[in-house]
Amino acid sequence: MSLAITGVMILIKLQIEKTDFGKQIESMSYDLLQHHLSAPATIHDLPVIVLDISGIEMRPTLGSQPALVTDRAPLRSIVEQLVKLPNPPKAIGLDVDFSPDSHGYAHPDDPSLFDFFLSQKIPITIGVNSSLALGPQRWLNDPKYIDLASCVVVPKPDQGQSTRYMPEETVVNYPTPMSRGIDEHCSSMAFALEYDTVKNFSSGLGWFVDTSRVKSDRQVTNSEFLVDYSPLQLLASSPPDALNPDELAKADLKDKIVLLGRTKNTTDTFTVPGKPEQPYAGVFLHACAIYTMENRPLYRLTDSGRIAIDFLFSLIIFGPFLLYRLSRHKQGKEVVVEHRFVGRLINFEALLLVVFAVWLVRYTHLMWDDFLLVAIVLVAHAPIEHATVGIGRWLDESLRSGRHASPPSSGPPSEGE
Amino acid sequence: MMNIRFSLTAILLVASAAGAADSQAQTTGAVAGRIVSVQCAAHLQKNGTQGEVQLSSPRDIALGLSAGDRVQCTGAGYLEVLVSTGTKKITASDSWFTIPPLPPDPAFPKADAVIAQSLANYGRAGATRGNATDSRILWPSANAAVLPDRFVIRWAPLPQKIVLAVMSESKDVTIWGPTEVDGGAGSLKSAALSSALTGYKAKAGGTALILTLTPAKSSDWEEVHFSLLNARQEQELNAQLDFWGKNTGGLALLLGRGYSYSRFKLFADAADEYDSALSSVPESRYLLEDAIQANRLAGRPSRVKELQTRLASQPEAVNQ
Repeated sequence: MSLAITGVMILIKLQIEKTDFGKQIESMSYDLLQHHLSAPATIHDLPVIVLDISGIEMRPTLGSQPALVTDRAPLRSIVEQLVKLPNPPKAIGLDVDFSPDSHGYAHPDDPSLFDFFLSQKIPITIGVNSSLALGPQRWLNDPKYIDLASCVVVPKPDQGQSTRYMPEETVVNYPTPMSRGIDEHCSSMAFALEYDTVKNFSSGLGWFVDTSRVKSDRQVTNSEFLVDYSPLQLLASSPPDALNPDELAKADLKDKIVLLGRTKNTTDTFTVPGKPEQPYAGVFLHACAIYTMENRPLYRLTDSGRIAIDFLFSLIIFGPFLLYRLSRHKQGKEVVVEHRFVGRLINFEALLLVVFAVWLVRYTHLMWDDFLLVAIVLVAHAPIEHATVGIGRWLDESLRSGRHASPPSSGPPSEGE
Repeated sequence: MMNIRFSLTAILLVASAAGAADSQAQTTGAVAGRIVSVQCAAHLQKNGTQGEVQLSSPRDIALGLSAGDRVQCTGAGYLEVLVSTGTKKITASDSWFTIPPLPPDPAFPKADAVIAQSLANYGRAGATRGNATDSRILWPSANAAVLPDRFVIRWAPLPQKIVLAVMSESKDVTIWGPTEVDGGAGSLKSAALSSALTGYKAKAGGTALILTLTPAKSSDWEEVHFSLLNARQEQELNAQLDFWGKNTGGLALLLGRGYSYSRFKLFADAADEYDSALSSVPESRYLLEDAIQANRLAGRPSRVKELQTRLASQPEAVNQ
């Protein structure tokens, strides 16, 4: 009967997950877990640093591109200063959308700026997004610039969530007349700078947890991973002003990945798990993605893993009662467990489950976002158990009355609960 | 010699991009035609749809049309459409007229619509392409160009005296000022300033300039970089304006001139042309959108606000 109760409770939890209430609880759980990931102690412990370019003017460009774009001359000047530093950074990423479109470059000076970037010894990558639709090798219009390009897209969050995932790479399939098309891989800014993928779970637990997922929409496929936002506060609290030589000189950039991005007065802002009250500029999300790649990945439960862990925890809680009742049955003794005691014990165990899931996340990095739902269902077990027991008794009595009508049997007595 | 085909193509592109600029940094869909005049019972069939909508004047004047859209005139009168090859006059005898695609630009590939849509579905750029930083100086705006004889300085009014000056970009020559003026006035047009700019251009041949604005008794100053057209650019601009004058008239002339001024970054002059176009067809929501964009680039926030209020009171676009 305990197994049946466990099964019923899992089914109920699976149904609740699909409701708005369930999604809210999951979102709350995820936020709680993000909050408890261990953050680096100081900015010096981070592999990446954000330099603020909010002071750079936006210039209107007309002709094919009437929008405002970041002025190129100050950008070039900042990069020149960075590469000339005695202890230069390991790599530089410009979180600026340089996407040309079918009418031309985003700024007339872009070709000369790209040539300058290509001539540097330090790896430099710059952002593209919409220009992926221009065709293979055309993301920065001229194929010779393709090595500079990295994707700066931030995915739309799933319903009811904030931005949990960032892409590792975007694969675009360009149709060709005679074949299935050409696949071109655009690395995310984090991947392009970190040169490392998010480590996959290599042991035999791949069925249980994984580190990334794949999203496809016709010719575009994105592999994405959960981002650890624990360094966000450090990164976002007064990032050095890239236009201020004094601040630049003071910043510890040696062997770090430097991201140049607008942190204020920008439209590319996003909310992230654990900090829903404040939108953050896209450059901070890319920085956190780099940190996640450099540090440890976050794990997500697979569908089978989710069911397994739900079942496991339910069984851990109900298992002892099941064993106790079985042993009492075998001894031919009556099963006497006070309901109030059972209730209190299960509530205590549910509380332990919450504490452990939250406390252990800094070690496990397992983003088990339905642990609160499991705990809630466990706490609310009593009515479920009563209903299940009622059904069980009714079935039992129906079977007994059926046996009374037939010749007497010498089999063992039914187990009851 | 001006490339007529290019100019007509470009005006359509610019006009389409201007309308879309509010919602998107860059647009991949281009307007390939514009309704210039409706003098008959006219109908529009959007590409890929079966339904027809009726066109009316002045509501649909300057309405943008995509390649493949079809227009028709029934009964007496005519319909005028501006397309990449010029102005097309359509009468009932023409039956349906299909808007031709814009000529491809060999330098840049066309965006794949399916891929573009998938990218948009997936997310948005987490990168800078954002807003301009606020500046007290409204005109000239950053990177704009000006003509000396029509030069006017505009700023967000301040309840105190301000000091204005114009210098060469290297700041080694002060061309005009420093001059203290009433900050509450919000604008200044000065013959002395125009003359100084003309003189500097003639003598030094320089075109890159800086305007500085400093509130009196303050060290907090702002500057904006702008330029004068050089001789060659002025020649090209005049050639373009001549072309529009000789080959077009009415609304097409104003749109053409607006485009040319925009192309040379003479945003204030461009805004004047779009405003004139709007005054000739005040009910056109599409011209309103163009005028808003042009005035925004020209640093005229009060005019932008006024036009936006007008736009808000307009009925929703029915034919887009």
